[in-house]
Amino acid sequence: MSKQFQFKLVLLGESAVGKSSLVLRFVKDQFDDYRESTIGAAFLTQTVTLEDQTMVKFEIWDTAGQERYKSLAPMYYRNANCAVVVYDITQSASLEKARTWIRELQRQADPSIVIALCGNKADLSARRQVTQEEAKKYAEEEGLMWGETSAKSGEGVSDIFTAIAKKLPLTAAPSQRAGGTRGAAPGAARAGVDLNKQPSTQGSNEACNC
Amino acid sequence: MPTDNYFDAIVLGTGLTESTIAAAISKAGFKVAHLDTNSYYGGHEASLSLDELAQWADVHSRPDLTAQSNNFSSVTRSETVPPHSRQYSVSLSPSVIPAVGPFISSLVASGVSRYGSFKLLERVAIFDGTQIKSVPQSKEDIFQDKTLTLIYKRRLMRFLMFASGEFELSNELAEKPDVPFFDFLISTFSLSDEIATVITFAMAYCNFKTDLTLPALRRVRKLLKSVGRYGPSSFLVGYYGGSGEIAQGFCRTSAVNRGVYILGKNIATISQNNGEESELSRTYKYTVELDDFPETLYSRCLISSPYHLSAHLDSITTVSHSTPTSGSTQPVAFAKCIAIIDKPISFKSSEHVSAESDENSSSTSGISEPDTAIIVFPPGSLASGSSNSSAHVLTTGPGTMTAPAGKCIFLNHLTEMLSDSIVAGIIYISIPLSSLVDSSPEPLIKPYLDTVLSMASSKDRKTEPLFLVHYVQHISSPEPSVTPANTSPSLFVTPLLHPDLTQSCDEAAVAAETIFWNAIRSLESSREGSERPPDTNVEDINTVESFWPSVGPSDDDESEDGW
Repeated sequence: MSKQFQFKLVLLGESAVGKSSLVLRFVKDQFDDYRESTIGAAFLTQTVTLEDQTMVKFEIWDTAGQERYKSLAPMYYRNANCAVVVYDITQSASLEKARTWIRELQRQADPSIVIALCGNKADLSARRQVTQEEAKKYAEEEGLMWGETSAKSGEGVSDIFTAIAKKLPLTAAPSQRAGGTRGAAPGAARAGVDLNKQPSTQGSNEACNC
Repeated sequence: MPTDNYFDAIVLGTGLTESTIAAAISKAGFKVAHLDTNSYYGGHEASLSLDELAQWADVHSRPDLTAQSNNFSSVTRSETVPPHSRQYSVSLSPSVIPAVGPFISSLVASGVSRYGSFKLLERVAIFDGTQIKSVPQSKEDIFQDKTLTLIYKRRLMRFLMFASGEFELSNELAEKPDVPFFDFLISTFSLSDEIATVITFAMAYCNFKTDLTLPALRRVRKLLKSVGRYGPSSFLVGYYGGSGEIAQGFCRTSAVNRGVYILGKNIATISQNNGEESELSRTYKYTVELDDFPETLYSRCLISSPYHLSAHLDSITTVSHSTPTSGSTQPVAFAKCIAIIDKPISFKSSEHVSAESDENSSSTSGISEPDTAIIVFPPGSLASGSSNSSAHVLTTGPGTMTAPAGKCIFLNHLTEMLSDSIVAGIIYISIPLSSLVDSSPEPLIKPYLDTVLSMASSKDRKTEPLFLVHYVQHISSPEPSVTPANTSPSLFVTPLLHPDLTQSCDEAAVAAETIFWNAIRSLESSREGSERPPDTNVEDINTVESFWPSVGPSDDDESEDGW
């Protein structure tokens, strides 16, 4: 059986740079021109299969609008293994905001977090305000991964997630990783208690899909 | 968009109760703006890093008391904050979660449980005057207890049968409705002083020896029902400081259901419109303006923690606050202490080993170091302690991610590595006060703290706290007055939670559900025929049928249909 790893990925970036669209493209291969802000989902999951058949499952957390007035809870950053910080290549101010979020990540998140800087809306390159060179240089200085994407066309989207998957430490035992992913919710099997467990023991010890 | 600033509800305060309400109202399809003047989530139930805790202590010890800090007095802290501040999650409302009850039901039904992580409470112990003894957690434990004689075992079983049943209508209770619980146990069930003490303070978690029977019996029943739901303990402990972390989970649930979050802004004004200007202002009665925030927020109903609203109440309406009644069995305040230590607290497994380290303490085989434990000191158990009040102690360690352990943590590259031997922990001490005191709580706390610290000390090294915070937390209304009878029907004030170790979470859930339904009724009644701003989604509006809607596919994180 191939190895499977699970990681928590958090999205950051100014409102309207396309964070949710990017994930929607990655997870469902869809795009909606008139999407409003994110509603209803705690997080989405998508699996990337690497060349050696290793499965990397991302648990993707969207800011759910809490970034708008800088009111993200510490819980959001907690146990995040990787982060995608998104800016809009047609808005130079959004790269400035991305820098702020990266500083926030360096302050709040685990120091080992893998951070990817992602220039979205690459399909609108005619209106480009952020050059590739500028963004790339900044990413190199800060030791971040970098890529451009278009959630609309799909260009670069799976590339950036695959690149992150390759950079994550796939050395820990899969179960341990899963445990670390969201504090312990899946690690319920490991140390914590699964609250959704029914009072009566129903045969197997398999955790439910919470 | 012109409708951006119009909300169905504005919720002030991100404490556990308010956060639960915000999540439930958002999930019911209403638009919520959730505000807090603090830059952190959780209000009086927040989980804080050590730096944040130090800051909190400084703010609340300033003489120019803001309305909010009226709930705290005599706040003092150690001068130096130890390193690795961010590795700690210190709770302002240390609590455990009963495995059966309204709070755990809300956690599961709302889906918030998957944001958090939980562990069973590992140990409940009681100080009997000379030693720390484990408290049996189940009937099986009692059967196996070798210290109980057969006759007391039978009487105890008879009591437990009674307490787990429908005792409200029983003759036993009808005969003595106003008898203190402790006396009831002795007179009705012929239990020994020792057993009655354990039941009163380490099962019913009474504050005083005079606490009444009925509420205590209900707590015992809940405890008995909770045993076995998730394991041998009746209680769960939330990671990262519990309540504060869970409040964040409820807030995120509100946010993913379109709740808008604005933290760290002072409230400039709250006003109630008379509806004279326009139809719209009749519907959107409340106007909230924030300092340093360009937009005005409008809302149909307003839900607030008492401490956020009190400064602005005059401009809206008057809410009568019940004042503490002294002489009742309800505490009016709690003397509290938070101590950070760098050694685990150890318990001797054997029932009859003295708590004071004596010649037996060298044997390590009978020693356990639970990550989480409750230690109860009944009234009069410590010569230098309180003779009226019980003291409840909660200790948490690295296992619940509240404090660092040497090995397994990543540290900021700028800070030095912790040595392997360090297992940090937090000691919370809470002592109910039946009358208000102006003096520092430190002398009252000290004997209890010293006793717990001795459990973390070895022969060659006495453990001293790395960091200490003392304070008195006041309860402004002894009975939580949730009823909005004294408020206008679209203004709801959440009750101040009792900082009660075993009850506060359930209390928050009950208060949240009550206010949720009142708010929903208010929102639904004002919906018909009222003027709404343009492009409101009418199809969003359904009749609300339950506190938490049943979890549909869109809430299933494993589902790809999420968004």
